[in-house]
Amino acid sequence: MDGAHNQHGWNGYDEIPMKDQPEPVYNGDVSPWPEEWEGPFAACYSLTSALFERNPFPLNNNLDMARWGREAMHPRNHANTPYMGLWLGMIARFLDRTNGEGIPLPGPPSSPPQSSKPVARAELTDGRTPIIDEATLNRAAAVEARAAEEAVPGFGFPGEDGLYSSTDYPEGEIATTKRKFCVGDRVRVVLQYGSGHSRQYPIYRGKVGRVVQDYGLAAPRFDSTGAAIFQPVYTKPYPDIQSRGRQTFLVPLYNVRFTARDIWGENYGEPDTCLYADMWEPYLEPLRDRGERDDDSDSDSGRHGRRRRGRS
Amino acid sequence: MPRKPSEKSELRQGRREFLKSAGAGLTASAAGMLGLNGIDPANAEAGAPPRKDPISPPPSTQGDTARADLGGRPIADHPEGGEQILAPLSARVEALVHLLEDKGVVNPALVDQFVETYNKQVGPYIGKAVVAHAWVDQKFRDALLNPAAPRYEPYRSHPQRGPLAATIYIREWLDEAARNPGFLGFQWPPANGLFLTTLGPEGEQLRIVANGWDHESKIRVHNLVSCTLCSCYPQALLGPQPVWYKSRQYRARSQSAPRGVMLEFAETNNELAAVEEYLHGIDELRVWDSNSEVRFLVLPEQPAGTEHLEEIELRGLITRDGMIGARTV
Repeated sequence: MDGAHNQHGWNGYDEIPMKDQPEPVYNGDVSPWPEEWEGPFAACYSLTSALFERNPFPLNNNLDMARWGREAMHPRNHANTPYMGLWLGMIARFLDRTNGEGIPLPGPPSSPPQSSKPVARAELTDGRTPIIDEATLNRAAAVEARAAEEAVPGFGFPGEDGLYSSTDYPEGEIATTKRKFCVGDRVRVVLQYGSGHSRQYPIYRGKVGRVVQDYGLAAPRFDSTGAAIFQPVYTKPYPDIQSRGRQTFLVPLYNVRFTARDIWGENYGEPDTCLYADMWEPYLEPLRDRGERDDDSDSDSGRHGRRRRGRS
Repeated sequence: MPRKPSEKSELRQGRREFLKSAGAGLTASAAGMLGLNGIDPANAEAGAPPRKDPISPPPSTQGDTARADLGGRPIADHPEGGEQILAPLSARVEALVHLLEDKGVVNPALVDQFVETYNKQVGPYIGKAVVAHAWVDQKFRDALLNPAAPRYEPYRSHPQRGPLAATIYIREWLDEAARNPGFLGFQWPPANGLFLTTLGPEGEQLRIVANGWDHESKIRVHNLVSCTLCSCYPQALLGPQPVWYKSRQYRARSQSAPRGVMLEFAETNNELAAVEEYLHGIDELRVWDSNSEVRFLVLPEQPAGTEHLEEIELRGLITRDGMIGARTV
């Protein structure tokens, strides 16, 4: 979503806090979580995401939904909420989305299906300590409704049923068509704008970079216990649609290199600096306009040869 | 126009001072909003002794509102008009965890196990063991950096090599190292089965990048990792993220001013000079935006003059922040 959570390159936040936070040692007493509630909360976040990522909508909960949940916050609340607090609204929204139904719980295939007790909205907003306010829950639902009508890179607008489709990427499968990009290709990041979740951030849009890595792609595989089987290639879904909780698409992922001056401007980015970001194939388009600057000279040995500095 | 190194150095120093004074000029409450509580501006000058106990929360009269980075108190629209201030985050989280457990959505035993595991058994000591081994074993290092096409056996013919195979190379080495009692210094794998056959959650899709001489581009590089939207982090090797990594300050500035960020990590004039010198020797700084489910770990450069040290001793040179690239080692 294009909003206050995209703070890439923003100035004015002053000094980075707690840079000397002690490192935990094995079996020691230093917790990685400075506040006592952070550990149980992280556990709840992790467990609800991991347990329910394969549930059908609306009982689905996955990492990309979680990220989107933070973006649906009011900018004012986003700005004065601590980092861990950003996740609270996401779990509350997940519970609200169950609409009073119990959540199916994973168990051995042989045992009868089990569910959690249902959670009513009032238990979130009107308990002894209200967990969240109604306005925030309503806002998240409104953001989701709006995004349900918006286009997604590579998939365009959804159909009447609210579902996305693409001739390039069959749902839940690996496309048999050829990769659109190879390592070394110059690419431009497509423009987009909307309320949905994307991991293609504003600072990259319209910028030109070079593909430096193809991560490969495979559908996730699981053994009989439900544990993922290791594969040495990328196996995670396309976040822009996964975050909506209804469909899973697998699209190729590349790593793209940008020069800092191409992102921030000739006189503003730190010199001799490159930004590397992972880009799903629909985020990219081939660089066709040869009139456009096509030099990545920061990475060329010639330029470095001239500018290499000694230790003196 | 390229500046001379000395001018650059002054610029960086100036930026650092700007950041410090920006903190010093704020009222205490505004500093709280900006996450500066616990930092005494007068003491934050370069050269001042490091703060001893920055983690203990400052006394607070407003619940956990005192440190915005750990406890804000959002204002919300009231259903009947106007605004309401919600309870402190700690109380709301407690209510949420209680609700989830009460409804059987999460199992309290699993919550406790999760907290215990990450408090005691999964932390930066795992990453340090991996880095130290990569320093002493050229074949291992090469495999981590070129996982799809390692140059040496046994990795060159490893059946699972591929662009994201570093995880399996690390897992197999850790499994082997754990057979040597006492060598790792931590229990491997962690007791609860969390790591499955690879490196568990937040580590199974892993990419390693190395500081120092880059043979491919023939330049000296430094790598800095940042998840600019959230806080994606190789938790399997480093444990939960430190607060600074999750902060909006770091996420906002790590891409636009990575050298400024590194200089900010220096606590004393000596450290500042060392980071300055290190950065002078770097031809290119690479910032990795951790914006997919791939997790990045930096292999810091082994400090000169430590070649005689044993692998176990080398681990002591490495820091958590170095494996993210915010510090040099």
